[in-house]
Amino acid sequence: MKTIIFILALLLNLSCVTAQEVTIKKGTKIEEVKKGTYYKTDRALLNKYLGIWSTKINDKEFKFEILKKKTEVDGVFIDRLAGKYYFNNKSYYNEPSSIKCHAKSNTIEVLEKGTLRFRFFDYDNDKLGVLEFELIEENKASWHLLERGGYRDESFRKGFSVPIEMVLIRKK
Amino acid sequence: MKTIPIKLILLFSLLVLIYSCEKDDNLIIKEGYLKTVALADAKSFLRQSQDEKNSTPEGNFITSISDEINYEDLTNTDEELAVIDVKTKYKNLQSKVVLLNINNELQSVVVGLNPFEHSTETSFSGEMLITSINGNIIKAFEIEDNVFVAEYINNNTVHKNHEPNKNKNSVNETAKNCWCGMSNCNWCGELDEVIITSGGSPSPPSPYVSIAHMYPTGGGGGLPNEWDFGGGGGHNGTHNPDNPDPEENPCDKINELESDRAFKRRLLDLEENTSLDYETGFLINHNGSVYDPIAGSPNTDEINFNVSGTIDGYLHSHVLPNGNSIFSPDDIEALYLLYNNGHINNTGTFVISVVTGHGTSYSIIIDDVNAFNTFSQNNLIGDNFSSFSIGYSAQSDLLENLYGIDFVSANEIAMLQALENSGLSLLKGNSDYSDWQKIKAQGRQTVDVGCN
Repeated sequence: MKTIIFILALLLNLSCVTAQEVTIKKGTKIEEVKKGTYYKTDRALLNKYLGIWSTKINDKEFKFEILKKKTEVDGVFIDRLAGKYYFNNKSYYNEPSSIKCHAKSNTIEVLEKGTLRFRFFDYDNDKLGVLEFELIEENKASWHLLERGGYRDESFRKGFSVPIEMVLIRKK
Repeated sequence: MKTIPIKLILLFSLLVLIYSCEKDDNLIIKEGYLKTVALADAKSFLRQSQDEKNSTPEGNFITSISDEINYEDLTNTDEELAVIDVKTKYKNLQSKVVLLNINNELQSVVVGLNPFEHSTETSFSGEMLITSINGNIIKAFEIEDNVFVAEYINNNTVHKNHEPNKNKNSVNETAKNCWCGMSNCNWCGELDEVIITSGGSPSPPSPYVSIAHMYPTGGGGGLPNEWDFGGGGGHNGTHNPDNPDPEENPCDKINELESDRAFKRRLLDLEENTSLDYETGFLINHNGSVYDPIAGSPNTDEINFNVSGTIDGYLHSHVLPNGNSIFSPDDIEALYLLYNNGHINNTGTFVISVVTGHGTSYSIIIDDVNAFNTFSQNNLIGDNFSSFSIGYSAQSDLLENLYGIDFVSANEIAMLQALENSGLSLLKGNSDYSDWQKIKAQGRQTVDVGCN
């Protein structure tokens, strides 16, 4: 009897585990959004962006790493893309707080298009900007950094501590 | 000798009779020359215009036509003009189709008005554009205090160089470079010569335009037949910093927006500007200008601005392809920074608005300044702002990806949720900005709520 109860509990547990992850692809329709479920974005879509993208600036390496972040929203989990950069031997690159760049939109439609806009944080200049990250080829992307909009007082520091235009290659 | 005075009297009487008959003839000619367009004919014209508009909705000059026909007085005659409100491709103009029978032929023109900020109901200052029904420009006028100060005619001659009018508080910065001096450069292409018609004339008591200016064969001799075209008021100037009203009733605030014609016109300007590759906007009551224009850089979708002194609000556009369909988190942050840096003249009447390339428009007013201050401390400063913006974006992603809610609605619901308990009210505008509904998120839907 104990064995039967154990097997039933195991099966129930397994079914719960499998029910807690759903992959979202283009055209996927969710009949009922369940609390606690991890709605994962189609890996093939994310893979276009994930990884370390780099280039050399005056013999110094610039790296921009795009990561997947499991994010809780309204009791469910979704995938969002975040980024962190490395330039001029920055020591905070490996700190958890260094992930201050976030893709503004992570919808299937946007991910398919091949251009992401990140809310970019410049650590040295202590300011936000807008990063336009566009896939040119499978492992090649353009980097275009823009000032963000809004009210600016006298303390506003124009420009960024990193290059605003680059072509990055993804490391294999 | 006695017959001489009698002959003179007879001769005088004959002259009086002849003069009197000639005068009557003139009246007969004049009265026959102009005729009111019968209601049936005006309706028929209206139907025909609507059919034409519907057959080519994209390319038509007139984009919408009112169902109502008004009859308005002309001076020095009992005949009346048939007047129909329309909208044309020049969205910032207040346009009317004006019909009159001249020599038994139905004549029609579209009269469009672009009042300047200082224009009032009784003293019109602004631009008047007269076109055919198809949009061919016939004439344009610049009017100051009801006086026609400049006339631009379409006579197919080589145009003269003309200094743009820099005192115009032009809506569009680029318009200041128009050779013809008008606020819309599109009008210049068809207007070839500039004639300054008057200067220093006393202002007429009402904004009149002669039918001779409107119709190619208008006039007909005798006393002028003029139409009181009504003009239009500019912005009220709104707030008095010495007499602030910090907690104005939200309903009053919304009603003020709905009735503020200058405000609506500026939003229409922004709507036109959503086709540009940069954002545009206005700071309200800034640097001595009621609507001080601002603009972003080409090929960007961000607009930066600085403020000297205080302002009563700011309006801006979001352009395609990257502009949001609603306020961005940065816009909310900008509102707080303006407040925190003392640039808001009166929180009770301050308004920010956005018109987007997605066909949406929203305004925000401050309902509870203390709640807004607390909300801002917790959400809009330092790392909290990153959390605020990520929270908004993640919510929008969730609504689109999982619930299949469209982009515009997802952004709207996400922003409403992000602004919960912020002390701010989000208002949604209709297509001509004459109606603003306060909205709230209810689950995954947006609902209209009362202004209180």
